[in-house]
Amino acid sequence: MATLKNNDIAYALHEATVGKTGKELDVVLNNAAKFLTRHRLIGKRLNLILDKLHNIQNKDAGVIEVKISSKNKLSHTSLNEIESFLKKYYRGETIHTEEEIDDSLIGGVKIQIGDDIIDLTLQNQLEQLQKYLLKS
Amino acid sequence: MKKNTIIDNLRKEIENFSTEVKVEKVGKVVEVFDGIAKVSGLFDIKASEMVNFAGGEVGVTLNLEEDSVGIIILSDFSKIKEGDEVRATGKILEVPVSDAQIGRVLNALGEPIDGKGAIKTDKSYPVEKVAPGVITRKSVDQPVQTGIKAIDAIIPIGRGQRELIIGDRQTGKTAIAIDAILNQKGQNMICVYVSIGQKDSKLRKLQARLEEGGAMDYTIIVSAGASEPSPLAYIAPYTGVSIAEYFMDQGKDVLIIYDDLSKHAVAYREISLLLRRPPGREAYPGDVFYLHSRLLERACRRNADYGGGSITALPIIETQAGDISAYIPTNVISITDGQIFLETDLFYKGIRPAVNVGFSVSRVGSSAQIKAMKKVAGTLKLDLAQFRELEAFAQFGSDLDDATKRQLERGKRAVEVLKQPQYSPVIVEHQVAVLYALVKGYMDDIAIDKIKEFESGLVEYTERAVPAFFKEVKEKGMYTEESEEAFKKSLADFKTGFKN
Repeated sequence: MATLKNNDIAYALHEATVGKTGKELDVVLNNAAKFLTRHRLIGKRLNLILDKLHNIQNKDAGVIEVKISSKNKLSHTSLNEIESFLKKYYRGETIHTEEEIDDSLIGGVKIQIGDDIIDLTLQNQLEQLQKYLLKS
Repeated sequence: MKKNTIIDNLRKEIENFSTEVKVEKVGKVVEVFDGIAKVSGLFDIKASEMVNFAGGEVGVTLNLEEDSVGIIILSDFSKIKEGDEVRATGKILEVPVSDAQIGRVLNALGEPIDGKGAIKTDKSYPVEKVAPGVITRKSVDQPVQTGIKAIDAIIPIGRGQRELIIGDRQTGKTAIAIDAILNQKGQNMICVYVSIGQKDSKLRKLQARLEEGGAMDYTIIVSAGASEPSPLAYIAPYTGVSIAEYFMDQGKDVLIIYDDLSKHAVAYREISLLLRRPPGREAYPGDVFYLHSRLLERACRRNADYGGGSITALPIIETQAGDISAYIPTNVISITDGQIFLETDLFYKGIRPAVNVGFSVSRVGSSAQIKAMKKVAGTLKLDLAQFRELEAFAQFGSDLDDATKRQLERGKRAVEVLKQPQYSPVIVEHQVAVLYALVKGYMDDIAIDKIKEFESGLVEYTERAVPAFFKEVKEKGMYTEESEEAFKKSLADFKTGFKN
């Protein structure tokens, strides 16, 4: 039997649940739980599958999840600026921002969107300067 | 330099600097062990892509799985921990290449390790590259003179050929490779010696030997020592051939030695098993053939339209108890264009280099042999093979006919002539003169223990009496009839004066 891929299961779950509510959704979820138990997918792999499902749902709904780390709390204007840039860059409709205060940073911000990181911290810029000076 | 000038210079440099903002792909280390890291995320990463760990360590992706990526770490992995960030670079693994690398000892990443300072390079070549296609190639037609009589006469190697050196431990495999490098002086050849999984002391000795012989002026050593992690041993031969390709692209001829590919296969087996790839025969992974074939396929001779350079590869394989039918030896034998088989028995009988002429072969080299050598060595292989057969047969009785006796005596002398001490390569014109004397029967009545003396005396005498013979062989690759006559005469003269 071919191996079931996490990604395929997540897509199937998404397809089966999208647009469904109430009793209809209950039935689908019940069947999904049975399927997962039958194929022994409850455990370590379940988290991976649910993560994938979460990403697929976000992509479908045009939601971008962003984590912004900075030394101090950012002002509303800076946050709005970052969000509007990200909306354009990633072509999303809504942005869910999670702010994080990171004391290890010297200054600047670090923006994380899934696998991508936009590093605008002072530390990164200093590192780039160091590399540049060593090269020249 | 004054304090102010330093500050001014720094200020100027900093004024020119502008930071770069880019979106980077970042993953997280899930587990790390034995030079391997499993990393989550990095979904868009390529195979063989370089990655940077948080502490500056470099890694290369090898396993692209559904939820994670298997990475081999090419530096010290002891400081990498679970949860560390891993940044993709978007670049396939590359090594720096430069003319300044000649005479230096490099590690598997092309960085100098001989303490002679940094090498300034502005070019780099990818470590993995597709071998040159048929259209760009040319058949092998120029010889590589190894300076070893047994090889140049019977198993000749051509520029662009892949000739395997195979044998048990302590049979003189590396010695042949080193002699071949030493003999390349003035032969318009760049040499690359790739040392895989060897002791640093052995490498140091070898480097000193090459320096002594003046061979480091045209040689590069790439080393992944026994104390280094296996990913480096896996990368080293590819690094070596990338550097060789840099010189080939300039139209130069390169000789590359992989010492040895058995250890390379073992390093790859270790990595593959750690990455949980399914094991096959002798626990090697299924793609161990591809590991060596894609490496050796990069040896080639380019035609004039593509620069005309060449890479000649001399891979070395160590066998266990003379078993050439084990997995890795058979693989590499089938990939290469011939093999030089060294035997322990011959080595201890005092026949050194311990080349077993019966099992050794060169599939393309004979077309690259110079005419003079082809003429004198034409029947040598057959003579030797017949001698071996007769030798075994003659042990049963002493009543032999004259023809058989003569053949036995000739064979004994051929074996004696082909013996050669280490680090003393013989130039091709001298080889031709000695072999001429052998095959034309001039040595038949010389005592076996006087053969070496006769040989050196003959070369010296000819050098004085018929210099034209050597000159013609060297420059045109063949002697004229007149000089052959003159050589014959001097040969006879020398023989009458030689005290038997």
